Amino acid sequence: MKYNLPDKNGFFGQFGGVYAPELLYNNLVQLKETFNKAKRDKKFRKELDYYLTQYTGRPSPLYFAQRLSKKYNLKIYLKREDLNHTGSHKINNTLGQILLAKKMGKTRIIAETGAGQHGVATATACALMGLECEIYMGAEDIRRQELNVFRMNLLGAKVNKVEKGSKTLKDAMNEAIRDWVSTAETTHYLIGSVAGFHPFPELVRYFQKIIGEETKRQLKKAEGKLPDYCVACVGGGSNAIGLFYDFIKNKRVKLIGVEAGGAGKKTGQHAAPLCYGQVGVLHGAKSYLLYDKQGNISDVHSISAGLDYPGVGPEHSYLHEIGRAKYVNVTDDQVLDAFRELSELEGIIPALESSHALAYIPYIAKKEKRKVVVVNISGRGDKDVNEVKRIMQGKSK
Amino acid sequence: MSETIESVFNKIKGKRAAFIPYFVLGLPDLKKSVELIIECKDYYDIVELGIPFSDPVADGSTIQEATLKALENKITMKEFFKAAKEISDKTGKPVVFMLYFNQVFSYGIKNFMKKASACGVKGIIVPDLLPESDEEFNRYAKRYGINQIFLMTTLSKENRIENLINLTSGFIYLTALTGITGERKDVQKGLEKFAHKVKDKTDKPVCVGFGISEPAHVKQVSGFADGVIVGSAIVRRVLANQDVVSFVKELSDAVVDKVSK
Repeated sequence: MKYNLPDKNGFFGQFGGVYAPELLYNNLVQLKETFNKAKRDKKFRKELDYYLTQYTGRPSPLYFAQRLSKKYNLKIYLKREDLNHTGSHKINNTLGQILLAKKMGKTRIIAETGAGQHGVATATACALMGLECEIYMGAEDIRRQELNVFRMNLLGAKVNKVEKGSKTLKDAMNEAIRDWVSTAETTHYLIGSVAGFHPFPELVRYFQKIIGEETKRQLKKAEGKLPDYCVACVGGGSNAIGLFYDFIKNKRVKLIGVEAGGAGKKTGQHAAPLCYGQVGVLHGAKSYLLYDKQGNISDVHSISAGLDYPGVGPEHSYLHEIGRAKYVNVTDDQVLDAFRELSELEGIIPALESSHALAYIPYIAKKEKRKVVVVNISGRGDKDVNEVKRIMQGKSK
Repeated sequence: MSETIESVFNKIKGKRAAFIPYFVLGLPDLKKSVELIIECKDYYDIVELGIPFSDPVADGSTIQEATLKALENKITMKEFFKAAKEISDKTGKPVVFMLYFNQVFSYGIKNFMKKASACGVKGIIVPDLLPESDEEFNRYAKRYGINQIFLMTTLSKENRIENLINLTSGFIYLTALTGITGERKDVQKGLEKFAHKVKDKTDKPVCVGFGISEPAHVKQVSGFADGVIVGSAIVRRVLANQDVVSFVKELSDAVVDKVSK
């Protein structure tokens, strides 16, 4: 299939666009121009490749999960983004954007973070390049991702605690936008997902698509074919777009995005806009969103801080609308089971975010046999062990 | 029927600047806010009504706190429209809505503009919208005669200034600072020069808002702008249950008469 989106105005069909305060106009124009130039610049590509291989450790392995495959009678491959430097796929994007920021002459970087993975990856890139770094993080997320807060501090970043609203990712992003409109001239806002104002969805995809490109090559070597399924968790959706993008044109490959079902649809305690939301506009783009009758954004819930967000990147809304990708959700309990299962069967502790993707495997196993399934392990679970311990102890009481 | 924004500026042109206060509709509750706004009617030319939204990214801490409080009253958009109509009818002054795009979008852009127009709303400010963001928004605002007031900043470059002038109707809303709403100690340097630069390019009124916090600021800005907008300083007094009417009068009185050249 032909696929050449977004259009010049940043739209994927009806989704995306630039819903932005006027104060960001100059920055967004500059970012778009710098990005378009950098894409065609061999020197830029070479510099980024250098950091991706020598600093991050790419390519990340595509690991055949033997015991998990046996259990489900599938051929399950894990894309090991958790083995990247800093422990998640987020570093692919922060290294790319930090080079753009330098080109634009920005001296200060800000970012939002939920699970802290993007915050750590941003703080790391800033340490590497000697740039000032401030991270916005919700108070609730600071509590449940304490280890990552300490890591950011070690890396020299200032972590600003956000006490507003639900004290999670959405509120951290609000504060980051407020900072950016007040510091637009000196500061680059390093958005961590394929969300936000155009050109962010496009440029974050550009830096993350390496996940799918590598997977395609690696699987061809291992199996001599394309996968039957690609599965990834979706919050904003950067690891999912990263895995999906190179397979969009291969129509036979089923793309599955797994949203956070939280405590289940009936409770209203979830973060699954593609499954249960409607079209709306937040943080710069038109996309599926969870909001009430007056247009106010809903409080959402997920066990995983990285997926605890009421919106989703606009390209996912588009892939959902045209039916090219399928979006499902799993509950917190299913996620915890998957988290333990991978730890026990494969010796890999996945992030709670990535455990959402793993939790969908039983559904595939119900209807398929021996199919090749690629699951993106977008991050490692070290950051989550304290929180999981707390929840498990609470349950056994 | 209230008068239009255009006729307000025509009337005071060359004499003095317009005074435009901002109130959060629904604070402390809907009834009280409507009463307060009507009570202040002799002191303003146009009134700006903030419709509370859960995620006001262009607003500073005062208006954030105020909107959060107002949201607790669980007021529907229908009730906000009704309140706007009452204000428009009883004051005869043009009402301008300030709200965020998802509020308009979720209501249905066409229906929103139609209803707003019927309730005497003469202008709309959406701080998370650029003039080129949404074609449907522009089309229906025009169709239902609602002025689209887009923000201009002192960082706006030459060709951007010209674009914004062309795309804005009612008045040009020049932000006095490069940041979010909220009170500031001083008026930003270079603002007057920038305002003159804009005024040299257009006959449309240039109004200044964001950070204008006290009568001295109003005095200063009204000397060179066609209108002065005060928000957070008023809202803070509503939050603290202080004498808002006297403060609005004080601000209004601070508008200087234009010296005829």
